Amino acid sequence: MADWIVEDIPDQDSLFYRVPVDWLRRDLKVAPGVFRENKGSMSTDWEKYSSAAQTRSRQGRPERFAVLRLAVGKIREIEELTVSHEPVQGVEGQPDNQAHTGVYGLESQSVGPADLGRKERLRTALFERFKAWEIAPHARID
Amino acid sequence: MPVSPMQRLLESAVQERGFPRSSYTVRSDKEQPFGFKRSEPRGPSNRFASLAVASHRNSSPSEREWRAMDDEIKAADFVLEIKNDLESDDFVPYARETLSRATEFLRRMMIHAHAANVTGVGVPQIGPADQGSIDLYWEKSDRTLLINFPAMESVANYYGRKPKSEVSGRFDPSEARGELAFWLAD
Repeated sequence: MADWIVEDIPDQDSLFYRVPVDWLRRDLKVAPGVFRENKGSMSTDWEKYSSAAQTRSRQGRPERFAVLRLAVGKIREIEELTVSHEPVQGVEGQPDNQAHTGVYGLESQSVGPADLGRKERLRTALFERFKAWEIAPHARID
Repeated sequence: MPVSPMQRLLESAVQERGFPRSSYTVRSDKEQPFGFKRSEPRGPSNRFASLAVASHRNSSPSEREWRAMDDEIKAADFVLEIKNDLESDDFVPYARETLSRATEFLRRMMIHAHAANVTGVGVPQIGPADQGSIDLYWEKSDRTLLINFPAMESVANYYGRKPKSEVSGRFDPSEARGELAFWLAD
């Protein structure tokens, strides 16, 4: 199998972001708290190589997850966030995933006065752009 | 009659804010935990009946706001049941202490607002965020405010935006921060 190359992701494409249903309030609506990093980035899948249903199932037990569609151009509107295609291939302990894409910048290493409230500002900006589920919580599994 | 903790909080809020003639009083915990009622003559016969039959139409805006806040706080207990779902390697459990820090701050903030006869602060959504932290999120027609209470740290970080105004920063959540309530309600 050929090595997967890192590609540029066009603004008009989308990423799928998996959200555990456990994190949601009773109304099952998207909330600012769903936008969070894991190992240094928000882990998503590029739609070129993954469907929303595949993203939902990637960790097993898909019924535990809902999925958001994040338009890349809208993420990039938020100045401090970047999108980076990072296919996972041949990494021990991780299944191969050509779609894997990181959204970087939510966390800041700096803790100066100007950074206070920064993460809250970025989470608010993400929440305002992405409120609609691509796959709703408890949706039927095809 | 013994003074309830909430009564003490309200009195201190009224004194701090310089509103010695606030039209609000706190009933004893037995009658209505944390409930407000406008000061008015009350006869023994209608004292409890008023609680039973009070409709939203008859209650004051501050009473409705307080009740809605209480409902939200009760519903927020779901965060304590969130387990490590394998999605995050650096999962931090949600602690009662963190949730209490957020909800007690919310109560204090509301007390300050109501003691100053300010209503319309609105009730935030209370929900989980990263690393065991808790969010309070207000979303109103033209403004939002997000306050995050980290686990194991007695600070809160916030960001709010409305037309021609942005606020952000960090504060000690043991303070009431009445100005944020006023910012939300003006």
